[in-house]
Amino acid sequence: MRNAMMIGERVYLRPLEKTDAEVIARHAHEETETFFESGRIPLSPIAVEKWIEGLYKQQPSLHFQFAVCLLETDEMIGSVGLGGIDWINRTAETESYLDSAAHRGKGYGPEAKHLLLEYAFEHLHIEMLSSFVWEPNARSASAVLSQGYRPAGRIKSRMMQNGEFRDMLAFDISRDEWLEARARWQAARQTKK
Amino acid sequence: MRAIYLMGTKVYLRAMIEADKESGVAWFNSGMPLSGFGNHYPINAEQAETVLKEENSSVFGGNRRYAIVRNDGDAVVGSFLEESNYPLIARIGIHMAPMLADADGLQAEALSLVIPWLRDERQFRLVQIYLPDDQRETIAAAAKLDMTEVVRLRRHVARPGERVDLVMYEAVNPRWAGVNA
Repeated sequence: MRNAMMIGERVYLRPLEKTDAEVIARHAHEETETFFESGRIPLSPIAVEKWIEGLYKQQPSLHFQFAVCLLETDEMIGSVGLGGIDWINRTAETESYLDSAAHRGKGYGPEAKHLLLEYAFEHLHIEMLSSFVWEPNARSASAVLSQGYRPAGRIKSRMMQNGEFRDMLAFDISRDEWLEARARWQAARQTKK
Repeated sequence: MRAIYLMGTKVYLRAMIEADKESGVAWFNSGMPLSGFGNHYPINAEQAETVLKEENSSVFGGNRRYAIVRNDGDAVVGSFLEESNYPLIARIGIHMAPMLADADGLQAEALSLVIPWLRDERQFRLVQIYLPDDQRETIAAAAKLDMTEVVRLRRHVARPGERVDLVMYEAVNPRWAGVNA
């Protein structure tokens, strides 16, 4: 493990390094899905590196982004983050990207997300979190609901799919709601074992 | 310097100017338009000047901050941030100076100046703003401007001894009806 901040059963979270830019750019080139809000875009590692560099410049930081890595191999398979951190109101917006298509559908995403929520609620003492999902991304919408988020409304967006504007779905979650959802998720995992 | 099309009875709006570095606390908010509601951070003149230069490094672009200035005495009492992708969406945020007894009323008037300008004159398809649920005068102004509640984030704003909801209001430009058909 390298510079780990949150450790789960199969994955751990660590701060993004500039050297992760190559991996993120490669994942963007190998994307298999088209329903993301900005579509598929081959990212340049130069631009990604600059973005990572910027994450650490602002103090106090308003954005934390973590690499999601496999415990067994250290391979980075995606990233999760807290954006728009409001240190006074103690709120933030969550985001998660399981960039590696080969690792989707295997339970790594929910595990990484629960580690992120644990970090937000138990370490930063955030009061409420929000999440926004572009409507065509039904997989993410379903995931945030199973992680305990509640629907908070919908926002018209500038993004189009097949010639039509599609909405952004809003969700929010409190610490108690997350604890309940995590207990359900842990119980389901125990049953599977 | 006043924008003649953004003048109300209590406040007017104008572009930021170099002298505004002296009143950074009144207009600076790093989280807007999506967070930072009611946050006030200490910012000195030197840092405020840096922010002003960074934010105004280009004439073009979709992110602009404007000063909200009281008509009587020309004091900067807040700022209005426009984050836009013309002509589709303008997301706006309003920040008011600390310790203002009439902040909600001034903010309500600023919103009443800004929405017709963005929706009806510049013809954005959508104008969106987050407002804490206890800003009664501003919310009443939003309703009067035909803005509707579209998102309610529970307990997202801290107040002394309590938390209040954060609500997104949206103004839809009826001229765009049918574009989506």
